[in-house]
Amino acid sequence: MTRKIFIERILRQIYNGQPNDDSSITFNQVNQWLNDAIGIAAKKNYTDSIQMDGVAYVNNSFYTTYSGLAITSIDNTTFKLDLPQIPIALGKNEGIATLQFSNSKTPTTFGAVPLSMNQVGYQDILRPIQNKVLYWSQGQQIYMSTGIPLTAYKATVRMVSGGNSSDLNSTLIIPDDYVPIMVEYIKGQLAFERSRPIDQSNDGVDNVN
Amino acid sequence: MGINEMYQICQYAINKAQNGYLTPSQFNLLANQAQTSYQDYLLGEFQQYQYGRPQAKVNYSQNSDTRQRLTPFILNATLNPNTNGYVDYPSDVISKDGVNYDVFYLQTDSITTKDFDRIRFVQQDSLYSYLKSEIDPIATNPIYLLTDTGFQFYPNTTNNNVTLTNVKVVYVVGAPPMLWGYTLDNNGRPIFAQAYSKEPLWYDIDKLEIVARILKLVGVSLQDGQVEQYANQVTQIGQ
Repeated sequence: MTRKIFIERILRQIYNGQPNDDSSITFNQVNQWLNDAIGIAAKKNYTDSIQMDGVAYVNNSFYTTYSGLAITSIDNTTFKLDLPQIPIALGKNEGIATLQFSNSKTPTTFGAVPLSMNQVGYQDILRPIQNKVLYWSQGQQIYMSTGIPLTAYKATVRMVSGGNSSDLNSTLIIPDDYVPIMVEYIKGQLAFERSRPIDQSNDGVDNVN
Repeated sequence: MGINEMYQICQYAINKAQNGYLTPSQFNLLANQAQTSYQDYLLGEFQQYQYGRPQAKVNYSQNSDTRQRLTPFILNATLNPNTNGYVDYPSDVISKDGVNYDVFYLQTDSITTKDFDRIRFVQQDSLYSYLKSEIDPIATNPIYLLTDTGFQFYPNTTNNNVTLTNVKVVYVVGAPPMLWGYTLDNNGRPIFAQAYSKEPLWYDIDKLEIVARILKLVGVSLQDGQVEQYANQVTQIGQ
Protein backbone atom coordinates (compact mmCIF):
# COMPACT_ATOMS: atom_id res chain seq x y z
CA MET A 1 0.00 0.00 0.00
CA THR A 2 1.37 3.41 -0.93
CA ARG A 3 1.23 6.34 1.43
CA LYS A 4 -1.23 8.01 -0.90
CA ILE A 5 -3.67 5.12 -0.73
CA PHE A 6 -3.44 5.00 3.04
CA ILE A 7 -4.01 8.76 3.25
CA GLU A 8 -6.96 8.57 0.87
CA ARG A 9 -8.51 5.88 3.05
CA ILE A 10 -8.20 8.13 6.07
CA LEU A 11 -9.63 11.15 4.26
CA ARG A 12 -12.61 9.13 3.02
CA GLN A 13 -13.41 8.21 6.61
CA ILE A 14 -12.94 11.68 7.99
CA TYR A 15 -15.03 13.32 5.26
CA ASN A 16 -17.55 10.49 4.92
CA GLY A 17 -16.74 10.07 1.23
CA GLN A 18 -14.65 11.97 -1.27
CA PRO A 19 -13.39 15.21 0.25
CA ASN A 20 -14.56 18.44 -1.34
CA ASP A 21 -12.20 20.71 -3.22
CA ASP A 22 -12.21 23.05 -0.25
CA SER A 23 -11.51 20.37 2.34
CA SER A 24 -8.92 21.67 4.76
CA ILE A 25 -7.22 18.38 5.70
CA THR A 26 -4.68 17.79 2.97
CA PHE A 27 -2.63 14.80 1.87
CA ASN A 28 0.54 16.43 3.17
CA GLN A 29 -1.04 17.06 6.54
CA VAL A 30 -2.16 13.45 6.97
CA ASN A 31 1.32 12.41 5.87
CA GLN A 32 2.74 14.37 8.80
CA TRP A 33 0.50 12.52 11.25
CA LEU A 34 1.44 9.30 9.52
CA ASN A 35 5.04 9.66 10.67
CA ASP A 36 3.86 9.76 14.29
CA ALA A 37 1.59 6.80 13.71
CA ILE A 38 4.43 4.71 12.29
CA GLY A 39 6.36 5.29 15.49
CA ILE A 40 3.38 4.19 17.56
CA ALA A 41 2.96 1.04 15.46
CA ALA A 42 6.63 0.14 15.80
CA LYS A 43 6.53 0.77 19.53
CA LYS A 44 3.47 -1.44 19.83
CA ASN A 45 5.25 -4.22 17.97
CA TYR A 46 8.21 -3.81 20.31
CA THR A 47 6.06 -4.14 23.43
CA ASP A 48 4.01 -6.93 21.87
CA SER A 49 7.17 -8.93 21.31
CA ILE A 50 8.14 -8.55 24.98
CA GLN A 51 4.69 -9.66 26.09
CA MET A 52 4.49 -12.62 23.73
CA ASP A 53 8.09 -13.79 23.42
CA GLY A 54 9.73 -12.23 26.44
CA VAL A 55 12.30 -10.68 24.13
CA ALA A 56 12.22 -7.11 22.87
CA TYR A 57 12.55 -6.77 19.13
CA VAL A 58 10.87 -5.16 16.16
CA ASN A 59 9.66 -7.40 13.38
CA ASN A 60 11.62 -7.38 10.12
CA SER A 61 8.62 -5.96 8.26
CA PHE A 62 9.21 -2.56 9.85
CA TYR A 63 12.71 -2.06 8.48
CA THR A 64 13.71 0.06 5.51
CA THR A 65 17.12 0.19 3.87
CA TYR A 66 18.56 3.56 2.95
CA SER A 67 21.70 3.46 0.84
CA GLY A 68 24.09 5.96 -0.73
CA LEU A 69 24.24 8.13 2.39
CA ALA A 70 27.18 10.55 2.24
CA ILE A 71 29.74 10.55 5.06
CA THR A 72 31.57 13.62 6.27
CA SER A 73 34.67 13.84 8.42
CA ILE A 74 34.77 15.48 11.86
CA ASP A 75 38.39 14.59 12.62
CA ASN A 76 40.82 11.85 11.58
CA THR A 77 38.97 9.10 13.41
CA THR A 78 35.43 10.45 13.76
CA PHE A 79 32.87 10.70 10.97
CA LYS A 80 29.19 11.39 10.69
CA LEU A 81 26.26 11.02 8.35
CA ASP A 82 22.74 12.39 8.25
CA LEU A 83 19.86 9.95 8.50
CA PRO A 84 16.61 10.46 6.60
CA GLN A 85 14.81 10.74 9.92
CA ILE A 86 15.48 10.54 13.64
CA PRO A 87 15.49 6.83 14.52
CA ILE A 88 12.53 5.61 16.51
CA ALA A 89 13.36 5.33 20.21
CA LEU A 90 13.31 1.57 20.64
CA GLY A 91 15.53 0.10 23.32
CA LYS A 92 18.90 1.76 23.54
CA ASN A 93 19.59 1.99 19.85
CA GLU A 94 17.40 -0.54 18.12
CA GLY A 95 15.85 2.02 15.81
CA ILE A 96 18.85 1.28 13.63
CA ALA A 97 19.61 -2.34 12.86
CA THR A 98 22.69 -2.24 10.64
CA LEU A 99 25.19 0.21 9.25
CA GLN A 100 27.37 -0.82 6.32
CA PHE A 101 29.76 0.84 3.89
CA SER A 102 30.69 0.35 0.28
CA ASN A 103 31.99 2.18 -2.75
CA SER A 104 32.79 1.33 -6.35
CA LYS A 105 36.08 -0.27 -5.35
CA THR A 106 34.60 -2.12 -2.42
CA PRO A 107 31.20 -3.28 -3.63
CA THR A 108 30.96 -5.84 -0.86
CA THR A 109 29.76 -4.01 2.18
CA PHE A 110 31.47 -4.20 5.52
CA GLY A 111 29.53 -3.61 8.69
CA ALA A 112 29.92 -1.48 11.79
CA VAL A 113 29.49 -2.23 15.48
CA PRO A 114 26.74 -0.32 17.34
CA LEU A 115 27.28 1.44 20.63
CA SER A 116 24.70 2.68 23.07
CA MET A 117 25.12 6.25 24.20
CA ASN A 118 26.72 5.43 27.55
CA GLN A 119 29.24 3.17 25.82
CA VAL A 120 30.46 6.09 23.75
CA GLY A 121 32.33 7.67 26.68
CA TYR A 122 34.03 4.36 27.37
CA GLN A 123 34.95 3.95 23.73
CA ASP A 124 36.47 7.44 23.70
CA ILE A 125 39.28 6.39 26.01
CA LEU A 126 40.21 3.40 23.85
CA ARG A 127 42.44 3.35 20.85
CA PRO A 128 40.58 2.77 17.53
CA ILE A 129 40.24 -0.91 16.71
CA GLN A 130 41.98 -1.69 13.47
CA ASN A 131 39.73 -2.20 10.43
CA LYS A 132 36.59 -1.91 12.55
CA VAL A 133 34.00 0.81 12.68
CA LEU A 134 32.10 1.65 15.85
CA TYR A 135 29.01 3.83 15.57
CA TRP A 136 26.29 5.43 17.61
CA SER A 137 23.25 7.37 16.57
CA GLN A 138 22.56 10.76 18.07
CA GLY A 139 19.45 12.62 16.98
CA GLN A 140 19.30 12.51 13.22
CA GLN A 141 23.03 11.75 12.83
CA ILE A 142 25.14 8.67 13.06
CA TYR A 143 28.67 9.16 14.39
CA MET A 144 31.39 6.67 13.50
CA SER A 145 34.73 6.06 15.14
CA THR A 146 37.39 4.29 13.08
CA GLY A 147 40.82 4.56 11.56
CA ILE A 148 39.39 3.85 8.09
CA PRO A 149 38.96 6.99 5.95
CA LEU A 150 35.20 6.60 5.66
CA THR A 151 34.58 9.64 3.46
CA ALA A 152 35.57 7.47 0.53
CA TYR A 153 32.51 5.31 1.16
CA LYS A 154 28.77 5.60 1.07
CA ALA A 155 26.74 4.25 3.95
CA THR A 156 23.79 1.87 3.90
CA VAL A 157 21.47 1.90 6.89
CA ARG A 158 18.67 -0.44 7.87
CA MET A 159 16.34 1.30 10.25
CA VAL A 160 12.77 1.20 11.49
CA SER A 161 10.98 3.56 9.19
CA GLY A 162 7.75 3.74 7.28
CA GLY A 163 9.63 4.31 4.05
CA ASN A 164 10.20 7.53 2.19
CA SER A 165 7.99 10.06 3.93
CA SER A 166 8.56 12.71 1.27
CA ASP A 167 7.23 10.57 -1.57
CA LEU A 168 3.52 9.91 -1.26
CA ASN A 169 3.74 7.33 -4.04
CA SER A 170 6.27 5.26 -2.10
CA THR A 171 5.27 2.06 -0.35
CA LEU A 172 4.23 2.43 3.26
CA ILE A 173 6.50 -0.05 4.98
CA ILE A 174 4.26 -1.22 7.78
CA PRO A 175 2.84 -4.75 8.04
CA ASP A 176 -0.93 -4.99 7.64
CA ASP A 177 -1.51 -6.24 11.18
CA TYR A 178 -0.24 -2.92 12.58
CA VAL A 179 -2.06 -0.63 10.15
CA PRO A 180 -5.22 -0.51 12.30
CA ILE A 181 -3.20 1.00 15.15
CA MET A 182 -2.09 3.80 12.87
CA VAL A 183 -5.63 4.30 11.56
CA GLU A 184 -7.02 4.70 15.07
CA TYR A 185 -4.36 7.20 16.06
CA ILE A 186 -4.70 9.36 12.96
CA LYS A 187 -8.49 9.21 13.00
CA GLY A 188 -8.43 10.47 16.57
CA GLN A 189 -6.23 13.43 15.70
CA LEU A 190 -8.13 14.43 12.59
CA ALA A 191 -11.56 13.92 14.12
CA PHE A 192 -10.44 16.22 16.93
CA GLU A 193 -9.37 18.81 14.37
CA ARG A 194 -12.67 18.53 12.52
CA SER A 195 -14.66 18.96 15.71
CA ARG A 196 -12.98 22.19 16.77
CA PRO A 197 -14.97 25.39 16.20
CA ILE A 198 -13.71 27.70 13.47
CA ASP A 199 -13.18 31.39 14.08
CA GLN A 200 -15.12 32.76 11.14
CA SER A 201 -14.62 36.43 11.87
CA ASN A 202 -11.47 38.46 11.47
CA ASP A 203 -12.23 40.93 14.22
CA GLY A 204 -9.05 40.89 16.26
CA VAL A 205 -10.51 38.49 18.79
CA ASP A 206 -9.44 34.86 18.72
CA ASN A 207 -12.97 33.55 19.16
CA VAL A 208 -13.66 29.88 19.67
CA ASN A 209 -17.45 30.35 19.66
CA MET B 1 -42.58 26.64 -22.60
CA GLY B 2 -41.46 30.00 -23.96
CA ILE B 3 -41.62 33.45 -22.52
CA ASN B 4 -44.99 34.02 -24.20
CA GLU B 5 -46.51 31.09 -22.33
CA MET B 6 -45.02 32.38 -19.09
CA TYR B 7 -46.66 35.74 -19.71
CA GLN B 8 -49.98 34.08 -20.54
CA ILE B 9 -49.92 31.99 -17.36
CA CYS B 10 -49.31 35.12 -15.32
CA GLN B 11 -52.14 36.96 -17.09
CA TYR B 12 -54.46 34.00 -16.60
CA ALA B 13 -53.82 33.87 -12.86
CA ILE B 14 -54.22 37.62 -12.45
CA ASN B 15 -57.22 38.12 -14.75
CA LYS B 16 -59.19 35.20 -13.39
CA ALA B 17 -61.44 37.49 -11.38
CA GLN B 18 -60.60 40.54 -13.51
CA ASN B 19 -58.46 41.76 -10.64
CA GLY B 20 -55.79 43.43 -12.68
CA TYR B 21 -53.53 43.47 -15.68
CA LEU B 22 -49.80 42.93 -16.09
CA THR B 23 -48.27 45.14 -18.76
CA PRO B 24 -45.37 43.80 -20.88
CA SER B 25 -42.93 46.19 -19.25
CA GLN B 26 -44.08 45.14 -15.78
CA PHE B 27 -43.82 41.49 -16.77
CA ASN B 28 -40.29 41.97 -18.11
CA LEU B 29 -39.26 43.77 -14.95
CA LEU B 30 -40.78 41.19 -12.65
CA ALA B 31 -39.66 38.19 -14.70
CA ASN B 32 -36.01 39.21 -14.45
CA GLN B 33 -36.37 39.97 -10.79
CA ALA B 34 -37.99 36.58 -10.30
CA GLN B 35 -35.31 34.63 -12.15
CA THR B 36 -32.59 36.39 -10.16
CA SER B 37 -34.43 35.45 -7.00
CA TYR B 38 -34.77 31.84 -8.15
CA GLN B 39 -31.10 31.61 -9.10
CA ASP B 40 -30.18 32.98 -5.71
CA TYR B 41 -32.38 30.29 -4.16
CA LEU B 42 -30.58 27.56 -6.12
CA LEU B 43 -27.16 28.93 -5.23
CA GLY B 44 -28.04 29.01 -1.52
CA GLU B 45 -29.67 31.95 0.23
CA PHE B 46 -27.49 33.06 3.09
CA GLN B 47 -30.53 34.40 4.93
CA GLN B 48 -31.19 30.77 5.79
CA TYR B 49 -27.79 30.28 7.41
CA GLN B 50 -27.74 29.38 11.06
CA TYR B 51 -25.16 30.67 13.49
CA GLY B 52 -21.92 28.74 13.02
CA ARG B 53 -23.44 26.67 10.23
CA PRO B 54 -23.36 28.43 6.85
CA GLN B 55 -25.73 26.08 5.04
CA ALA B 56 -28.95 27.03 3.28
CA LYS B 57 -31.85 24.61 2.89
CA VAL B 58 -31.10 24.42 -0.83
CA ASN B 59 -27.48 24.81 -1.88
CA TYR B 60 -25.54 24.95 -5.11
CA SER B 61 -24.66 21.43 -6.30
CA GLN B 62 -26.22 19.95 -3.19
CA ASN B 63 -27.29 17.04 -5.35
CA SER B 64 -27.65 16.28 -9.03
CA ASP B 65 -31.13 17.85 -9.12
CA THR B 66 -30.13 21.29 -7.87
CA ARG B 67 -27.05 21.19 -10.07
CA GLN B 68 -28.98 20.06 -13.13
CA ARG B 69 -31.30 23.03 -12.85
CA LEU B 70 -28.35 25.40 -13.11
CA THR B 71 -26.50 23.59 -15.89
CA PRO B 72 -27.67 26.06 -18.59
CA PHE B 73 -25.61 28.60 -16.68
CA ILE B 74 -22.53 26.51 -15.85
CA LEU B 75 -19.69 27.28 -18.24
CA ASN B 76 -15.96 26.69 -18.29
CA ALA B 77 -12.99 28.76 -19.32
CA THR B 78 -9.22 28.64 -19.41
CA LEU B 79 -7.48 31.42 -17.51
CA ASN B 80 -3.90 32.62 -17.66
CA PRO B 81 -3.18 34.84 -14.66
CA ASN B 82 -0.70 37.70 -15.09
CA THR B 83 2.65 37.83 -13.32
CA ASN B 84 0.94 39.11 -10.17
CA GLY B 85 -1.47 36.19 -10.22
CA TYR B 86 -4.49 38.29 -11.18
CA VAL B 87 -6.97 37.52 -13.93
CA ASP B 88 -10.38 39.04 -14.71
CA TYR B 89 -13.51 37.02 -14.15
CA PRO B 90 -14.50 35.24 -17.35
CA SER B 91 -17.49 36.14 -19.49
CA ASP B 92 -19.00 34.38 -22.46
CA VAL B 93 -21.82 34.29 -24.98
CA ILE B 94 -24.45 31.56 -24.94
CA SER B 95 -26.11 30.87 -28.29
CA LYS B 96 -29.53 29.30 -28.33
CA ASP B 97 -31.91 29.08 -31.29
CA GLY B 98 -29.81 31.56 -33.20
CA VAL B 99 -29.92 34.17 -30.45
CA ASN B 100 -26.82 35.24 -28.56
CA TYR B 101 -26.95 35.94 -24.85
CA ASP B 102 -24.09 37.77 -23.12
CA VAL B 103 -23.41 36.17 -19.78
CA PHE B 104 -21.13 37.17 -16.94
CA TYR B 105 -19.37 35.44 -14.07
CA LEU B 106 -21.42 34.94 -10.95
CA GLN B 107 -19.84 32.19 -8.85
CA THR B 108 -16.99 29.70 -9.02
CA ASP B 109 -17.68 26.00 -9.25
CA SER B 110 -14.15 24.57 -9.35
CA ILE B 111 -10.67 25.65 -10.35
CA THR B 112 -8.00 23.15 -11.34
CA THR B 113 -4.74 22.99 -13.21
CA LYS B 114 -2.98 20.07 -14.78
CA ASP B 115 0.10 20.66 -12.66
CA PHE B 116 -1.48 21.12 -9.23
CA ASP B 117 -4.73 19.11 -9.19
CA ARG B 118 -6.86 21.60 -7.31
CA ILE B 119 -6.70 25.26 -6.44
CA ARG B 120 -8.40 26.07 -3.19
CA PHE B 121 -10.48 29.10 -2.37
CA VAL B 122 -9.38 30.72 0.87
CA GLN B 123 -10.89 33.43 2.96
CA GLN B 124 -8.91 36.63 3.05
CA ASP B 125 -8.43 36.33 6.81
CA SER B 126 -6.74 32.94 6.40
CA LEU B 127 -4.36 34.14 3.70
CA TYR B 128 -1.34 34.55 5.94
CA SER B 129 -1.59 30.97 7.22
CA TYR B 130 -1.82 29.56 3.72
CA LEU B 131 1.08 31.63 2.44
CA LYS B 132 3.29 30.58 5.37
CA SER B 133 2.34 26.91 5.49
CA GLU B 134 5.29 24.53 5.73
CA ILE B 135 3.19 21.39 5.36
CA ASP B 136 1.44 22.62 2.22
CA PRO B 137 3.88 25.14 0.73
CA ILE B 138 2.14 27.68 -1.43
CA ALA B 139 4.43 26.97 -4.39
CA THR B 140 2.87 23.55 -4.82
CA ASN B 141 -0.54 24.14 -3.24
CA PRO B 142 -2.18 27.01 -5.09
CA ILE B 143 -5.00 29.10 -3.66
CA TYR B 144 -7.18 31.89 -4.94
CA LEU B 145 -8.96 34.86 -3.49
CA LEU B 146 -11.97 36.67 -4.92
CA THR B 147 -11.76 40.38 -5.72
CA ASP B 148 -14.39 42.70 -7.16
CA THR B 149 -13.26 42.18 -10.74
CA GLY B 150 -11.31 38.93 -10.86
CA PHE B 151 -9.37 36.09 -9.27
CA GLN B 152 -6.17 36.61 -7.30
CA PHE B 153 -3.98 33.51 -7.41
CA TYR B 154 -1.07 32.40 -5.27
CA PRO B 155 1.61 31.35 -6.10
CA ASN B 156 2.47 33.79 -8.84
CA THR B 157 5.54 34.86 -10.74
CA THR B 158 6.14 38.05 -8.79
CA ASN B 159 5.92 36.65 -5.27
CA ASN B 160 6.85 33.00 -5.64
CA ASN B 161 8.52 32.64 -9.04
CA VAL B 162 5.87 30.11 -9.99
CA THR B 163 3.67 30.83 -12.99
CA LEU B 164 0.19 29.38 -13.09
CA THR B 165 -1.00 28.75 -16.63
CA ASN B 166 -3.98 27.08 -18.25
CA VAL B 167 -6.12 27.34 -15.15
CA LYS B 168 -9.41 25.59 -15.83
CA VAL B 169 -12.35 27.27 -14.16
CA VAL B 170 -15.91 25.99 -14.12
CA TYR B 171 -18.22 28.81 -13.16
CA VAL B 172 -21.82 29.87 -12.90
CA VAL B 173 -23.02 32.86 -14.88
CA GLY B 174 -25.93 35.05 -14.03
CA ALA B 175 -29.07 34.15 -15.96
CA PRO B 176 -29.21 36.62 -18.86
CA PRO B 177 -32.21 38.97 -19.01
CA MET B 178 -35.35 37.61 -20.62
CA LEU B 179 -37.66 39.84 -22.65
CA TRP B 180 -41.25 39.55 -23.82
CA GLY B 181 -40.96 41.48 -27.11
CA TYR B 182 -44.00 42.78 -28.94
CA THR B 183 -45.44 44.88 -31.71
CA LEU B 184 -48.64 46.95 -31.46
CA ASP B 185 -51.70 46.00 -33.45
CA ASN B 186 -54.17 48.46 -35.01
CA ASN B 187 -55.82 48.99 -31.66
CA GLY B 188 -52.55 49.69 -29.88
CA ARG B 189 -52.54 46.33 -28.11
CA PRO B 190 -49.19 44.54 -27.67
CA ILE B 191 -48.84 41.38 -29.76
CA PHE B 192 -46.05 38.94 -28.93
CA ALA B 193 -43.11 39.13 -31.37
CA GLN B 194 -40.52 36.37 -31.15
CA ALA B 195 -38.00 38.41 -33.11
CA TYR B 196 -37.87 41.08 -30.39
CA SER B 197 -37.91 38.60 -27.52
CA LYS B 198 -35.25 36.97 -25.39
CA GLU B 199 -36.24 33.56 -24.16
CA PRO B 200 -35.33 32.35 -20.67
CA LEU B 201 -32.58 29.73 -20.78
CA TRP B 202 -34.02 27.70 -17.91
CA TYR B 203 -35.55 24.27 -18.14
CA ASP B 204 -39.37 24.20 -18.26
CA ILE B 205 -39.76 23.03 -14.66
CA ASP B 206 -37.72 26.02 -13.54
CA LYS B 207 -39.76 28.41 -15.64
CA LEU B 208 -42.78 27.46 -13.53
CA GLU B 209 -40.78 28.32 -10.41
CA ILE B 210 -40.03 31.69 -11.95
CA VAL B 211 -43.70 32.22 -12.83
CA ALA B 212 -44.61 31.53 -9.21
CA ARG B 213 -42.14 34.16 -8.08
CA ILE B 214 -43.52 36.66 -10.58
CA LEU B 215 -46.99 36.02 -9.23
CA LYS B 216 -45.79 36.52 -5.69
CA LEU B 217 -44.63 40.03 -6.60
CA VAL B 218 -47.81 40.69 -8.56
CA GLY B 219 -49.90 39.50 -5.64
CA VAL B 220 -48.19 42.04 -3.39
CA SER B 221 -48.71 44.77 -5.97
CA LEU B 222 -52.41 44.03 -6.47
CA GLN B 223 -52.97 43.09 -2.85
CA ASP B 224 -54.50 39.92 -4.24
CA GLY B 225 -54.39 37.36 -1.49
CA GLN B 226 -55.31 34.43 -3.70
CA VAL B 227 -52.52 35.04 -6.19
CA GLU B 228 -50.03 35.51 -3.39
CA GLN B 229 -51.24 32.39 -1.63
CA TYR B 230 -50.89 30.34 -4.81
CA ALA B 231 -47.38 31.67 -5.39
CA ASN B 232 -46.33 30.97 -1.82
CA GLN B 233 -47.70 27.47 -2.03
CA VAL B 234 -45.68 26.71 -5.17
CA THR B 235 -42.45 28.20 -3.88
CA GLN B 236 -42.58 26.84 -0.35
CA ILE B 237 -44.49 23.57 -0.46
CA GLY B 238 -44.41 22.60 -4.12
CA GLN B 239 -47.22 22.13 -6.60
